[in-house]
Amino acid sequence: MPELDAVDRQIIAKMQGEFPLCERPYAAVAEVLGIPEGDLLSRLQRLLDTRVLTRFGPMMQVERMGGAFVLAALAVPEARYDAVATLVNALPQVAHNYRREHAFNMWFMLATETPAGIAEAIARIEGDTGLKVRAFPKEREYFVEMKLAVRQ
Amino acid sequence: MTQALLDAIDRGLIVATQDGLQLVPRPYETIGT
Repeated sequence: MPELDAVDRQIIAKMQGEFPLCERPYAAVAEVLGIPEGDLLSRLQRLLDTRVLTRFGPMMQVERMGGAFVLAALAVPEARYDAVATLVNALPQVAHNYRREHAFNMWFMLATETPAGIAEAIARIEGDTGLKVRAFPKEREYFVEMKLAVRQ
Repeated sequence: MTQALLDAIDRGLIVATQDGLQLVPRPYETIGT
């Protein structure tokens, strides 16, 4: 695990929301943090390079873009688990595929450019795997806006 | 400006930032060009 100094921690704490929409947003944040803009940019690059941050950028709301997002589950025979995971993960519409200790032991998200794309992706997975996909469409949205507390 | 053109610009903005915002002093200008 890479060592984080106090400035790194302040950057992570400060930049989890409300990134400025102005001509030089990094300069604006750097001023608040009391460091030069170049230092902020190089520290962010280092945090990305060392995978402390996996991504720095906006989060998109796929439904407001006309797309769709659905949680899906499969009951996969244990002997076929890895092969089915490979087939499912091959689809670009699949994200966040997790193994669970349950009869439904594979859970993943489907994200598609159109609502119809969900049915197409499910049909493809069912055709490829021979397993029935259980789909759990979102009924209500909760805006959590998770922000991680960073020790100072 | 037509709605269709606005949509194209919106989509371009989304595509340009999907992997993250550019680490340059003027990231929005970079996206705009």
